[in-house]
Amino acid sequence: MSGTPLVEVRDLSLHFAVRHGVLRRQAGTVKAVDGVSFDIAEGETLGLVGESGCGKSSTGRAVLHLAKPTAGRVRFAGEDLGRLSAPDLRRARRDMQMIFQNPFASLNPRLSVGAGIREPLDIHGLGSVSEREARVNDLLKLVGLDASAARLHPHEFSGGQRQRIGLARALATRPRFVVADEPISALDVSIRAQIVNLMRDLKDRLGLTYLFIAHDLAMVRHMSDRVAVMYLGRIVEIAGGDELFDRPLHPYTKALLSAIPLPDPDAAGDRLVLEGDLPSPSNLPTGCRFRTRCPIAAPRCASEDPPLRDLGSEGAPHPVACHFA
Amino acid sequence: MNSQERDQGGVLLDLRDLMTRIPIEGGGVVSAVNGVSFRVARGESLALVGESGSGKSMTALSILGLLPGPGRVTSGQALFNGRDLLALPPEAMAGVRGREIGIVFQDPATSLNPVLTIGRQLTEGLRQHFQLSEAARLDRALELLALVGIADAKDRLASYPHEFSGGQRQRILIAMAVACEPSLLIADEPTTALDATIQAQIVELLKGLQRRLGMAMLWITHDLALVAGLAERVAVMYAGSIVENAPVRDLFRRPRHPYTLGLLKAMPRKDARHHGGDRLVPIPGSPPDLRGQIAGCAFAPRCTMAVDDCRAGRPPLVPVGPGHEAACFKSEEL
Repeated sequence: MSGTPLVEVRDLSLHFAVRHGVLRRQAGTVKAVDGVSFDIAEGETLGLVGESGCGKSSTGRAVLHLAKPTAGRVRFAGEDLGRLSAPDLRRARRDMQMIFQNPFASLNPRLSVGAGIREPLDIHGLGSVSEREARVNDLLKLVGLDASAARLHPHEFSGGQRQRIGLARALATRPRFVVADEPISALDVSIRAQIVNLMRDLKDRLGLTYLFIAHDLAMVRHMSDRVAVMYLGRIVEIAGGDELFDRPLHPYTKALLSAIPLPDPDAAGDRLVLEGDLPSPSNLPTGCRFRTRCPIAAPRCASEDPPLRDLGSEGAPHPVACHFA
Repeated sequence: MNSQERDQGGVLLDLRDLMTRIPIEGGGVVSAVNGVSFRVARGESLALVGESGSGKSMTALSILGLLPGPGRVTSGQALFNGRDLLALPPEAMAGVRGREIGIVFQDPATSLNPVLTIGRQLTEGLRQHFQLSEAARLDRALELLALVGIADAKDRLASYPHEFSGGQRQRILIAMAVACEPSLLIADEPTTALDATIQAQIVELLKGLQRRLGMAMLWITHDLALVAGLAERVAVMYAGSIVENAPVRDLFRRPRHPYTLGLLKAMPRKDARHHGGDRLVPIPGSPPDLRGQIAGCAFAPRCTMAVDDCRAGRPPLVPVGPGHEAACFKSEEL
């Protein structure tokens, strides 16, 4: 990747205090995101995968500064988001939008679909009233909905159509970067492919950059140029999509890939099934966080936290956080 | 074995033409299940696959006599060991559930009682269906926890559900479901709420238990890929009806219904270089509203192969190969 990345994330952390009792005394800290770094080039899709509680959604929110990072830095188009004043951050938000698993939650049920899509334009004061109306029509067309949809209310649409509406709203301010947090998880299989294809078309037409957060690994591979794997607040491996799926190096990535059910009755043979459960993010293991479930853990893993080391080749970096990769 | 059982041969559950209707507020009726028939042989695993609203869960709840609120079975038979479960009085059905048919639901968080210990909940079924001493029941509870892979079972019997992780709670629910050694286990999306690596654990556990206990299983799931590795036979549901029923290999190798084929094409494949390249092939449109009468094939409005016949009359589920049935007029062209 040449030039300056559009999104540059360095040592990003998002910690939450766990409070107990009537005095709300701090009883511990949940390290939802704990020192995460990655770049996303303009026009690239970075997939972010991991199991629930691994911090992938928190990472998405912290990147956009929707949740204020506890530590670390995010540069967007060269600007350090943490140093922006509130009005400047609001202006920067036009360029960075988010879509969610449940698009219904981001749409006001009392507003018509047209008003819901127009809302970001109203908030940011973009265009005249008639220009905004025209933009809503264009956006509906862009996501494959009829212009008449503007007059209806969100509950009158199916799940797939609602996600189209969520996309139209997110694209209203002409963002360059979209964080998509599990955008297809709540959809039925036959509808998922419609939304995935739409997201790819939109990316090509509008030159979008995506952070695509999901737990469906097959879809992540399909969507992404590169994929980052998270476990308990850390990125354990990042590589190009095909490289990661063909040559996973971290034992967690191997187990995660092995856990994907394949639509082939003869391929289901030898699966690498991990033992045990995910440890609590408020009570992390010492050393490597994966060691409690790792099939190749050694004494060193309990004492030494493995840093990300690049095991890739020239021009194709492949950082992995494992002593034995 | 009585004479009726011998007539049934190896068939454990024979569901015949089940119809379930759910009246909705403000008038109208949802035709949730529209003439569903299938058989489960002893020790066999059948997966009932469909998207939300396809009627797969309603089919299971109908068989179990657990339909929510106003839902009603309007016709059909569910012959279990030759006895029609749909005709049983509620008390008799309660004797079948948990004893002869075990049940595992999707959400391990809400299926356990938060104020009772795990030990108490594990032995509930035994208390209901068997005359056992307290000590014998406890022994059995320990055995069950070990069977589903809960470590330190002895120390965990006095624990409450919130002290276990989601995956462990699902293991406990599975232990409860198999406590009375049922001949059929109905599992409704047992792994959907779980993470990928935990899902793989639970699938392996259930497959192992099925073999060891010789149970038949009815898996209900939306995940066609998951089914490939766990069921011997697959029935695909769409809009309240079974559109295809086949041995698992035949279904994936040569689907004979356009909906099944559409589902397979809509999934990214690990072996294909999709990334940046091929597009997925979505099924256009969305499933029909089951509040109205559907003339013809329910899939016709989304089907690229549909002809006038498809919109005029509903295609019946007919044999298209050995042990393979499909409900499509154009099945031979697939």
